[in-house]
Amino acid sequence: MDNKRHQQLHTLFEALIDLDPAERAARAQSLCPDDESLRHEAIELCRISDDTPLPMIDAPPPGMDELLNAEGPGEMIGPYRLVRHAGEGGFGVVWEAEQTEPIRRRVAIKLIKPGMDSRQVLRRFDDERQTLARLDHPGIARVLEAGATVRGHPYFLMDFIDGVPITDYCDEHRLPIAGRIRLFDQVCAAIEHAHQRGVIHRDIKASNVLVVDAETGPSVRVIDFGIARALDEHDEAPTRITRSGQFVGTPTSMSPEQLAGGFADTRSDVYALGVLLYELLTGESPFADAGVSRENPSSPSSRFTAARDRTETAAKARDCHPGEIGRSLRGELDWIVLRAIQHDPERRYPSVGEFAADLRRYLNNEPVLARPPSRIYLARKFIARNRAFVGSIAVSGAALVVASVVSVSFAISEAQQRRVAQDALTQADRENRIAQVTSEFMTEGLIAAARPDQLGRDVKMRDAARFAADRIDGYKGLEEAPEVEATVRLSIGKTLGQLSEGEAAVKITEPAYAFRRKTLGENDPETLAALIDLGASYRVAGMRAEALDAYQRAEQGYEMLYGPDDARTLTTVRRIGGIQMDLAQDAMAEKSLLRAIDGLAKLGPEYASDLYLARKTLQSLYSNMGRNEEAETLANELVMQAPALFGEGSLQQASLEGMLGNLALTAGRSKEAAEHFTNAIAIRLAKVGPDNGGLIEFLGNRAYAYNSLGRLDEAYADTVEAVRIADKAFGPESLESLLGCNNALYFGTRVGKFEEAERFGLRAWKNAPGTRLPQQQVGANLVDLYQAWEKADPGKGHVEQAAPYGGG
Amino acid sequence: MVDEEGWSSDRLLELLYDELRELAAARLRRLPPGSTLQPTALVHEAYMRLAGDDDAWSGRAHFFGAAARAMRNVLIDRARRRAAARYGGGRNRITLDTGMLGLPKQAEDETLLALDEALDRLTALNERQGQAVVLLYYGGLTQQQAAELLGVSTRTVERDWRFAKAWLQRELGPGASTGE
Repeated sequence: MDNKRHQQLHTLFEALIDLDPAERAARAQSLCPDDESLRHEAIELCRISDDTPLPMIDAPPPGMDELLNAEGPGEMIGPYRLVRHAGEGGFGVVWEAEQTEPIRRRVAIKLIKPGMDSRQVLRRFDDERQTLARLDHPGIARVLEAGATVRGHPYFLMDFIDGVPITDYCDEHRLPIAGRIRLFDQVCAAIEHAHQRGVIHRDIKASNVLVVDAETGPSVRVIDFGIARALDEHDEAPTRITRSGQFVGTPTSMSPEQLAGGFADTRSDVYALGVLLYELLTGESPFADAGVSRENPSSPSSRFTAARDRTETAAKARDCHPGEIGRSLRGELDWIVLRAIQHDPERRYPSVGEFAADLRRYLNNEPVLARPPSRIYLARKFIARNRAFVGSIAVSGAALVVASVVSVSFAISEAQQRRVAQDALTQADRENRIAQVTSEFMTEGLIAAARPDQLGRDVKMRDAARFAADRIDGYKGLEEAPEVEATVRLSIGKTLGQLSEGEAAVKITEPAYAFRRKTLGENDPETLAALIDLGASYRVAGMRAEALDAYQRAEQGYEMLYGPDDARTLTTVRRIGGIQMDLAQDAMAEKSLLRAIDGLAKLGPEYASDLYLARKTLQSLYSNMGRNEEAETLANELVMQAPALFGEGSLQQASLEGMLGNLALTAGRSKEAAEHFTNAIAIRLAKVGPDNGGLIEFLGNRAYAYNSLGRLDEAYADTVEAVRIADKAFGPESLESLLGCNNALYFGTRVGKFEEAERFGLRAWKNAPGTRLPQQQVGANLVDLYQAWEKADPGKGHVEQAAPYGGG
Repeated sequence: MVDEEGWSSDRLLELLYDELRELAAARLRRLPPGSTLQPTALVHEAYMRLAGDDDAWSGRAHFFGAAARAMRNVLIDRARRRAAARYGGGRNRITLDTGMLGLPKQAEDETLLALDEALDRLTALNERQGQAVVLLYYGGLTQQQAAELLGVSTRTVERDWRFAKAWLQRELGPGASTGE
């Protein structure tokens, strides 16, 4: 029926087509009066036919031009004969080809499709030829040469690789996650080789990374080095769109800076490698789904979990259950991949080598460097925000406190990270909040403490730490992140302890220990670390029994966790020995210290400083026990070791010189003692400056040595200097000052500086009550002073002045 | 032209390969036959399809017809493949790089596929008209050659061609264009 009507239509068309268009309607009416629709159709077709050429059918079939211009098998490109079509990409077609002269070999030829200026392409390739020639790596397929076909299209000649794209290889061989990472490690090695020789690939993607089955197992070949750059018409120009409206490179794996038209560098390759690893792990590109933000791709594990319909297949290709995959991706592997594909190049791994090293750490179950991105980001932001200010803090110690607190809170220990990793997704939010609160606390609690408008200009580290300690109780927001609060507390507590602020240290440390004990259990390594900190605080606060108890409980915990010969157990034993010495439990102290020394000595050179501290404590113990020969032998050994362990002129060395001085003084070798003290003073002066309290003991002891040698003027000068320092470091009413004043009174009398001696003596007398300085001893010295003064300058009533102090 | 008795099918292919290539190129370039052009992928693909065909090789006419149909198939297959890749069917395949297909091709491919469907409808209504379009449009034959091949007068081919073009153009709508 239709065919008949079609025939009628054609007949009517033929009758009308050669007529003048104005006459057609009338003719049609006369030829076909009964069928109005047929008449209309015929007239319409005539009208279309009048418009020649017809837009569609008079033009050649679309796509034919491209086909007719393409090369075919058997065609010669220079000395190479095209054999087989081997692939097709955005730039053109890849052919397997063979060379017959002078040698027979298989090569691959990449024919670039029309639209590129071949002279430009070849010129850019020439620019890189020297650099490319330096590439020599089993994982890199070389680009041998570039040229132009007779039709003027550029081509590249490459090693022929009979391999399959890495993604296909992994799926076909059902490689598990670890196997995929190991194969990927080969890719990194090849790219790193190129980077070290100044070549950036710029178009790393699965189809450019082929795997061949070598005798030694699967072997990776990266192809197309140098081609992306040669094809980049805008390498020197501002935009990236080629004439044919296509990107050079592959948008889904291309770094944001390349897409934006910026310069590619090694970190752009890090990015593309990250995208490739993402695909290897999950089976999909991070940006495969429309609408995925480049700045915020989902983590591999969440992508894997979200794509439920594809999970089964992908898991099968990885030879495990879907759940296993999700678990093995979550956490560290997520972080590694996300760090590599950070939008901002600065936040990626700085080099392919570091990327690969982190993956190897992951495979070896070592802690990785990558962190949840939010935390790194916030930490950097925080430091950047405060850098100028931190740098301008009047007392550098405050900056140290800030730095140490920041580092502990952002480098939350390994065990905590494992817990964090247990739920990376919800954790990300939480991490964010914790980091925010911590940084707020830093800003308002600690850094504010160092602000001149809060505490005055000359703020001391001690004040800053106290200020922070006062604020941490009930600090809003920190209660949401109690584990962070605990870490911050421990850090501030440690700082206070080092500043001899024992009570404050105890106060801030106790809740942190209690928190960890409650949440992690009594014998968790982190609980034990907090217990050690608490013990140290007790010791500084003079609470020796509590300190001993804390250390002993920590030692039991460590021994249970790691055994009796572990470094953590043994250093705790050393601490116990120190406390036992303080408590005058000499025999127990010696036993503890010998055990620590014996064990640490077996652990090798990395524990040399722990061993040193244990021996030094033993040295002090022997000295206290009056076993001077042993003490001196030990001290002499230690003083030799100190430079190697702590550097030349360390405070440790000063302390040992002081110790040797004491021993010499006790043995009656005053000259030698004075020399040791002089050494100790010189080191300490150089290290910490003239106002440091640590000098007082050395100055005082040297004064005794000088006294024995009859060098009284020098002895007096040392005591006066000791008082000056004590006044400055601890205040004029401190015990240190008062002891110094008493000494100055004694030596001042001996050298005849009566007025000065009197001033020192009266100060000591007045402030002695309530201190450990016996007032009657000061009084006796004052009596001596007035008697000597009377003798030197008789009849001035000096002897009467002695009356209130027991003289007369 | 060529002595029929001397033809083996290999020899036929070899001869026709070159001839078809020149005809196709001439059709495209509006150049006289005989200009020097390289062998083409198009002709090669048509050649390969024919070589795999068990149809008897009865002569040139048959070959031209088969070649023109093959060319049509090659072009349509490519367009379909690209369209499939574009709409997500090409996930994770690498032989066709989905990221690289330029958008301008899309309109071309759609027109080509629409034309193909219209040509099927035309062939159903009038087989000879459909065959003429295949030979002239895809095969690049002259109207005289097509007439010989179809066993009709040149005048008939002329009339069929003129009508079929108008009919197809109407089917595609006034806006349809290859842009070339």
